[in-house]
Amino acid sequence: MSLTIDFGIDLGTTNSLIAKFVNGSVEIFKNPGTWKDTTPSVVAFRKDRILVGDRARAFQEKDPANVVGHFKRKMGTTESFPIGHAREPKTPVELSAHVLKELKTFIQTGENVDSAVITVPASFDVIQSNATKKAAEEAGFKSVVLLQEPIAASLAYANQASSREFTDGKWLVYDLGGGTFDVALVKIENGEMRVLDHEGDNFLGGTDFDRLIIENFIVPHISKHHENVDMASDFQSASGKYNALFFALMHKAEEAKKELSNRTSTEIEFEFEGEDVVVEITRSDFEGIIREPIARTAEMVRSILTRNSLTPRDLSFILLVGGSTYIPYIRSRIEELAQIPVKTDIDPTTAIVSGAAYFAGTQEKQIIASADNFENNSGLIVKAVYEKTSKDSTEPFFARVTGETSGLFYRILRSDGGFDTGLRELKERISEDLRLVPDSYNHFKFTTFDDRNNEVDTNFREFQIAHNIIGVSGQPLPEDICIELDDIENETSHLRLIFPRNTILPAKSPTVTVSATRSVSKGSLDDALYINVLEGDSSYLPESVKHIGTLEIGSSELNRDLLKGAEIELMFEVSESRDVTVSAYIQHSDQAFKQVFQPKEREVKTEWLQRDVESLLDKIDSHAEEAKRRDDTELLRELRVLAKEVDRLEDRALCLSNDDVTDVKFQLEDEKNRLARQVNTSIQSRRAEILLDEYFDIKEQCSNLIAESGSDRNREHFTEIVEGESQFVRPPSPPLLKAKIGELHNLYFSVLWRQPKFLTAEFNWIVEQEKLNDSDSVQKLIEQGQIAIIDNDFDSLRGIIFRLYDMMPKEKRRRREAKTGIG
Amino acid sequence: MRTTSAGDSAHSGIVTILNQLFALENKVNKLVGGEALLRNLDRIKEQFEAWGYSLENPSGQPYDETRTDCDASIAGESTENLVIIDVIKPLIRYRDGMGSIIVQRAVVVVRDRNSL
Repeated sequence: MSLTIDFGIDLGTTNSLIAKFVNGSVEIFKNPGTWKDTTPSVVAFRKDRILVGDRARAFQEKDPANVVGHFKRKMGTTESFPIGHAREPKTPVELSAHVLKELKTFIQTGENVDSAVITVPASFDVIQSNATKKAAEEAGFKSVVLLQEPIAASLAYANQASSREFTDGKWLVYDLGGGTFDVALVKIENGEMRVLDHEGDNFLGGTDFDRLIIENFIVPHISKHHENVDMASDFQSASGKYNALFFALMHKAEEAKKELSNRTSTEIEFEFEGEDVVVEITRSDFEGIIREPIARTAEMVRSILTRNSLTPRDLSFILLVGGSTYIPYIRSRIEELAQIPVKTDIDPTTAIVSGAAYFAGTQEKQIIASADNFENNSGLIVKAVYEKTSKDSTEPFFARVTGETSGLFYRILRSDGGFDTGLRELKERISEDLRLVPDSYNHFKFTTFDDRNNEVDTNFREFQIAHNIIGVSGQPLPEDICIELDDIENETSHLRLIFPRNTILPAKSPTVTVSATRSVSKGSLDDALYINVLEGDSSYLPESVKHIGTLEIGSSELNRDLLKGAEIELMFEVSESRDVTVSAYIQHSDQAFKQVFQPKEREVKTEWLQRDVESLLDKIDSHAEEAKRRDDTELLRELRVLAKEVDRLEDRALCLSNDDVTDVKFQLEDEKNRLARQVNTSIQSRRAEILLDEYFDIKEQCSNLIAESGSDRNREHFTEIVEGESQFVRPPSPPLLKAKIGELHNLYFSVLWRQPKFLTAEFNWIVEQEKLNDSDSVQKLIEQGQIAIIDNDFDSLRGIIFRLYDMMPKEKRRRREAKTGIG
Repeated sequence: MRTTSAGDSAHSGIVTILNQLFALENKVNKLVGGEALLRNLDRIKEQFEAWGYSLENPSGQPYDETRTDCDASIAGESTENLVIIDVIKPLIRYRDGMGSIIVQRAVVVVRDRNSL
């Protein structure tokens, strides 16, 4: 049995494939029913059986209510698909599991496939990735490694190209599949490949072109020649009159689209209200409707270059993958817009699964890798250490053997027969120099024998070392991972960055120390600290990013009271498959808490979307008012442009029916998030200006006060604070400015609290408030204060003021909200 | 073991040509002014590489008993620090994806490095 995973799966929106890495090459398993490499990701629920693939697709036209496709686009959402023949609606995870189970049946070698590398778009977030893993689990896979599609495609290309051609450099992978678009910047250096950055749209792909064909050619044709129909309410709504026809037309539109890659015109034929309808579409008509989405993809290509300070000349090529890149217009348009040569020499439909299989050939199976769990008759455990990739002609191999080794021998054989250690005595520690075949995967067999040359069972039988083969240096995080902390000063919360976007996984954070912003009494009801883990740009507001999970430390779990200010140590880990683990340690009570998040669903409800869009408009309006008041015409102009875009979004959101069956609401949700981020960016740049004003104000006040009545020590302290001002003033750095403002405030008040005039005024103010609490002790303190003023004993007066302040009823003190309880 | 012999019908014809090519290359190397011919021989070898066959001359490489890609005759007394001094037949591999199989073991003469 192989120790490496070997099986790779491309679980695509439109089509899925499975392949295996066998002795250095990839074998794609054909669907035994159709003898094709690809199988449609479509599931049909017949009365007593479930069909997957081409057979399921065959029913799409006749029985659309029981056939589902394109569910990958809804992975990680709470959306489910109502099925006529099934009592319960089916979730995208369940449907994906059916496809995965079907793919397993293509392997007719009798092997039990329990591990696989499954590809996901680079833009898949934690929730979507976990949903994919859940589907694999439901399909019976015991261990799954996720691989980003652009890396898979690049690996396939790298393994096909000769090593001479494939040297260090950067390139882009443009992957336009059935339902998702990804563009990734990939770099290869010293034989290691990694994604530097990516950009994508989880709701843009060939399926959208199919929908555009219906919207732009078929619906207008029907409206003109038959009856007036509406795309949203008659076709896309689940209760729409022609919802069944919509699904059938989607299928026909896809066929037409494919034909237009080879022909200059095609026809779509269908039956409408008993009449035969024929709609003719030319290639240029089709190119007209996809121009805008393709321009959008080119825009993403440009933005990834700008963000990484690259020009088209810095890149070797753009690798085109995904079925939609067969469209000639896309090939020529992308080359023209990006000014980078495109490479189309790998099969865009099988590139990803081939890359997944190559990667699988280098990944050890988790179940077997754990030697401790292995049981065998001999009780021999071999723990081997070797480099999986090497650039040297020989590679050292070490192993430690536990168990009874006397009278036993071992032998290491390279599978091409070119290397053989011969029989050697098995000892507790063994070492060998292994000769490697250059530029190749070197597969070795490790066999243990007794003194009669009978094989002896151990946990370690095979291993592989790749010589001069491109490896994958880990996958990057698609977005920042942050935690939410209270900002008591401003009665709000803010994000603290834990892992920046593009951190290579797996990753572990250094310990982050936070403080409790309020006390939590042991055993009190409904009180807790919340460690909110979020995914999204850390410079934005917590409300505009996605929630991954919350580690809740309830009061009932505490073994002693947690006091405000107590330190909590937090540690974070993200696995290669993007499980997020949060560990918290409370020093004060010596307690540790840990939770692993594998969120699998994201919910988007039409009414929530409409409400959010409205609230975004309100937010823009209020900021616009503020900008008007401050005479900030530039911000006002920016906000007006954004308001127009949000207005358009609102119109589209309001048109959606509550039971819309398409992906439009997810597209609108993403669009809403994008606009919300733009609003934040505009406002935040102004926030820096406001902080600058605040900084110069307090600096001036502080400087005046110190000049008037500060000590030498105060002067020195003031100089220390404002030293290196140029570093945070130009360009303004909001976090540093905020810190400096805080330090200047502290200095200002420390000087002020020594001023007799200020102390007297403060005392008089408290005496006026005192009516709130006229206990004897308060009265005594007031008398002492008055004496202190007469005696000019201002040190005592300061102490009295503090004590009086502490005795004021809580409700009269300024109340500051703590949302999470940590800051 | 994925080693096939030269008699393997799928490869035998090509192995024969490659052996001739190797012999030719050795002769050309000894010719005065043979460089011009070597370029043509290299082109032929490149074409075979494109078809998956590669020819390896292990001359000068270290040899020990773990090397089963060579059939060696040991010259001299010592069996330590061996190095390949003469190649009678080259090592021929057939590349299968990113792995390879040996279609002909090299036939070599080895000798103690220190006795040279």
